[in-house]
Amino acid sequence: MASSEWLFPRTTKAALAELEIPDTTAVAGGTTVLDLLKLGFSSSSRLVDLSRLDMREIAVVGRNLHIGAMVTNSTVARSDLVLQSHPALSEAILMGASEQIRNAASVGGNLMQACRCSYFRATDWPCNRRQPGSGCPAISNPMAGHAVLGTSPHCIATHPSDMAVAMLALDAMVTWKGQDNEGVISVSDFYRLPGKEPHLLSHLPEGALITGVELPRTRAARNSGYLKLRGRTSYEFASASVAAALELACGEVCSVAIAFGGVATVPWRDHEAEATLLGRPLSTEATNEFLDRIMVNADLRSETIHKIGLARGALHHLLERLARS
Amino acid sequence: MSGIESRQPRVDAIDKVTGRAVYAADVRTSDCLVALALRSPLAPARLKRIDVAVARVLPGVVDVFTHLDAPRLDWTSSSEIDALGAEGLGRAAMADSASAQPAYRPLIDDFIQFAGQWIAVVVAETIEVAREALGHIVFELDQLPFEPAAAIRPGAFFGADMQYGFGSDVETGPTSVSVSANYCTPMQLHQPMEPTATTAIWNDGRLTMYDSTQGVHATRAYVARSLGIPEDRVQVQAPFVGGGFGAKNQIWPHQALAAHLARALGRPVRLQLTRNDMAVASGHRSGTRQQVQLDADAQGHLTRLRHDSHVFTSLHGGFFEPCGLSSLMLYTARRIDVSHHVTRLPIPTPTPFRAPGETPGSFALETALDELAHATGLDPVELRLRNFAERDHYHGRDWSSNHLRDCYRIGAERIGWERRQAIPRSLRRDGCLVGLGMATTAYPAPALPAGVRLVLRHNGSLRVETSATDIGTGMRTLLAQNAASNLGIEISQISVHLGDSDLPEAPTAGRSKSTASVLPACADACRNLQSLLDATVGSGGTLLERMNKSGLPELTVEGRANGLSAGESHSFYSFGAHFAEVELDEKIGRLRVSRVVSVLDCGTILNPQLAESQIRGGVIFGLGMALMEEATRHPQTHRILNDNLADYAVPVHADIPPIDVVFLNKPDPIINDFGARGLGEIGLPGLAAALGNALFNATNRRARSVPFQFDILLGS
Ligand SMILES: Cc1cc2nc3c(=O)[nH]c(=O)nc-3n(C[C@H](O)[C@H](O)[C@H](O)COP(=O)(O)OP(=O)(O)OC[C@H]3O[C@@H](n4cnc5c(N)ncnc54)[C@H](O)[C@@H]3O)c2cc1C
Ligand code: SF4
Repeated sequence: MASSEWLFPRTTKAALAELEIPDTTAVAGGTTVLDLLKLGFSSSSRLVDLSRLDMREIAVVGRNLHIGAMVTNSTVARSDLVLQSHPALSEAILMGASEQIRNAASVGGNLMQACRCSYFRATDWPCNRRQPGSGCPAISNPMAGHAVLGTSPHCIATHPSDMAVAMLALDAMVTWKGQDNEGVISVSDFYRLPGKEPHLLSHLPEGALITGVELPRTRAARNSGYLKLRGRTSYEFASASVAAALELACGEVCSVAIAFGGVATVPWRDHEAEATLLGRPLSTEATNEFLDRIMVNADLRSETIHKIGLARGALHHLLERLARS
Repeated sequence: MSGIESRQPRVDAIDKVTGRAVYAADVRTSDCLVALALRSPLAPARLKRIDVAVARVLPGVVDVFTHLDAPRLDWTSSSEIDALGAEGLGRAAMADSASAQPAYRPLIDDFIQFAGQWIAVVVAETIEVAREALGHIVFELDQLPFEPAAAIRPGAFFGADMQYGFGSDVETGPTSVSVSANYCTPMQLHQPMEPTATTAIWNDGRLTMYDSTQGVHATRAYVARSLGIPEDRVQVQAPFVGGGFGAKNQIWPHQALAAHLARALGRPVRLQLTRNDMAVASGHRSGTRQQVQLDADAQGHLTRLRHDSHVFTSLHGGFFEPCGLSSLMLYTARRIDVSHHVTRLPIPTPTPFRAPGETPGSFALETALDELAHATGLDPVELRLRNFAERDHYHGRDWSSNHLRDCYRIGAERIGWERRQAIPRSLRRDGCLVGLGMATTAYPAPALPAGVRLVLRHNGSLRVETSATDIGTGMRTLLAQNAASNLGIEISQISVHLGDSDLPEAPTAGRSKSTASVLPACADACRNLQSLLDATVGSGGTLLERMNKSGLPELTVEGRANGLSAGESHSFYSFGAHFAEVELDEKIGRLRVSRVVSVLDCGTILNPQLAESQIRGGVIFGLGMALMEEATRHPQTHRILNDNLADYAVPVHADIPPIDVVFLNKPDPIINDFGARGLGEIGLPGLAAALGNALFNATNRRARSVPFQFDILLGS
């Protein structure tokens, strides 16, 4: 492997200038980038290290909580501000990876992490996501971790992030900067379904950097949580997970947001289905109807069918907890 | 007797945790090249074309070898070589026509027998260059159609009949209850902490190999035969081995290949297996499908025990899981029938994996017993007591000692078995279903001939030398303790040198025989040293005083022990009982093992700290097997999909409950002077069944396959 050139820009502007040059990749904590390199993914010839950039703040700005893109996952999870106003975010992060990885991983990198499909990671399988047009062995031979929602005939890889699922339920907005433009995308619009071009992960413009996320500080967000189910107690990606934010008034749901992880090709949320819960008491039937609606078009295989039961159980568990508090 | 029963911590613990201990891949010599292999992604196949031209000219690449280069390596295949290696184990039992064909050796021809087979080996100056070069090799495969042939019914294996039916003279009533079911266990990967590596260094026609192996003498024999040189020109060293669990028990072709590469290139070569290689190049535990039928009379006495096992091996290898071993002797039944059916598949050759045979076999047998207990309304402990084998009916011998009934009693007390309700779903805690389950474990206690040498120096320091390996079991510590207590000196005066084929011969670490083989030899050496000093300077005084009096710079003695032979008049087994409690939140399918109590009868315990850690390790293996471990194969290419530790889950600390290990510590009066039997494997058999039985008690749903699936874990 020819070693890449490592660059250490000190300002966002300088970093963006470097990223303009073809064959350049940004590296934040490196826990995804270096992992893939070790697996034999081809390396860009230039790596731009973001660690000198000033995107490390957590602060209340207006009605939002702002978190800089380079804040580490551990710092977010242990931040008092986050714990007060967005507990689901802390819970989701703490249920992911390991303490060492969370210490290195950044918010921006977490949003942009690569999928965990075994065919994708072992570079001698065909894989549309790694090598566009080469095919998808998971379609004919899915594994227990593959997705049941948002699948396409070209890719059924599950989105791996826990943090992004919590952010989706918390209505987070991703702020970004390019060479000469900048913008905001809500997490719900951030990811692309695999469709015909599974190699395209998000709608972040080419060469742009995530600068941070903005999380609205709502009453529902304060009563939010995350539950992750998986085959072992820690250090494993979700078989199914759910993030929710709930506000009840006189026993009736007045605000609810529910996002699922581990089951779909992107963090998954359905606003229309949520609307069916509003103005009613939380009941087993209502929750079941909601889940049935979410799963109505699920692409089920014998390897993945258990995800329905897991998602249902996780949803009941979490909503019951949030309703109690 | 030597009174060394103490909690002496490992003498090499600090060396290991500080990185001072040198493992096979750590050996640094100037000039050392690195070899890495390219694996075939599918099988069976013919290698139609392979082009290494680009890889060969990369800066830093020294050479690239494919099957076309075998002559340059003097690399061949023969039945004599096969017989000494992992591929040969079990071929005599299989005795089919495939067993007579050459066994797998990489780079011999263009036939790809299994996915993962090495089709090229790159030798380079650095590991980075070697990895890069692998990516530049271009090849084309023709996949061949494959239909499995009829299953083979092998003959005797592991010293026991694989097809057997016999009646005993026990008296039972007529059959009144019968249970029969199929049980499945998964393919499992050893993946010890230290991936296998071999560093081969030639000097003047002599080879020194640093190798991560469980047996240096067996390695030497295989490698010398492969090289076509006398064994005394080969020295194999494995002073530290980072776990093996069987992956380093047999001798694999790559160990010899390192030596051939180094010879051909005239430079030292380090051949390194990656995690992915470890899934295919050094064996695995094959999946099994077993049928167990238990018939019993109205009192629960077994009238018939039938255990049929359907297992797998490679196209030309021989090893298969002898699942029926315990069923032959562990319980009394009026009639016992055991059969094994082995199907050849285009897969790598499986190999012994901690408690081979007993581990999958006990899952089926001990679950079936629980099913029978439920069907007869008997307590599972009581059912086992009623079918307790007073003697080994299969071999027609008495046990050297067997206190299994005490294990049941103490285990039941410790876990609070009286809380268990015969009717499932009766216990709850914090919104979870709670269940209690148990199972028996048993494992043979063999011992082979072994030698130990002692070198006492004038300053009173002692070297203990043997070729035995310490694969994490604590052999180094046991030897130091043994010599210290026999000779009345401090452990700090003793250095133990292990894992060197130039040292006195001891058996390969495996089948739980090292302690019972090697320690008696050490004790013998200590006696010989005392007698020699007695003869030289008379008795009286400390060892150092007597050594000073002798005026000698050093004294060397050897000790030997003969081990046990097949013709012994007793059967030597260790026994135990696992009791487990599980908690299940069935709404979300979350199962937690809340407690395990393991009570073991392994004779005298020489070092409780080391012994407990062996049992705990076995219990954790069993927990992994029950809850998560499962290697899966792609159906068309036969390639293992999760051949790495990101995709193959093993337990993390948070999965592991308090494990209460209790040793009866009753000396075996017959096996050796210590009364000690081995205990490296007995912690594992039965554990998965104990958990499944507890899960049934919690849910009324019977797990007949491991790892447990969500259809059992999730309530409706
Ligand atoms: C063993 C292991 C277990 C894991 N388990 C979990 C788990 O259970 N749950 C979970 O959610 N995650 C898990 N992860 C994934 C982990 O969360 C991610 O690897 C991590 O969050 C990535 O952050 P990073 O800063 O290290 O990203 P990097 O590796 O530095 O970058 C990742 C990607 O993001 C891009 N990028 C980084 N920063 C920016 C930016 N500011 N703007 C635009 N692009 C950017 C990079 O170019 C790269 O493409 C695990 C990872 C490992 C290795
Ligand atoms: S599911 Fe997606 S990531 Fe996995 S192999 Fe198919 S295309 Fe690649």
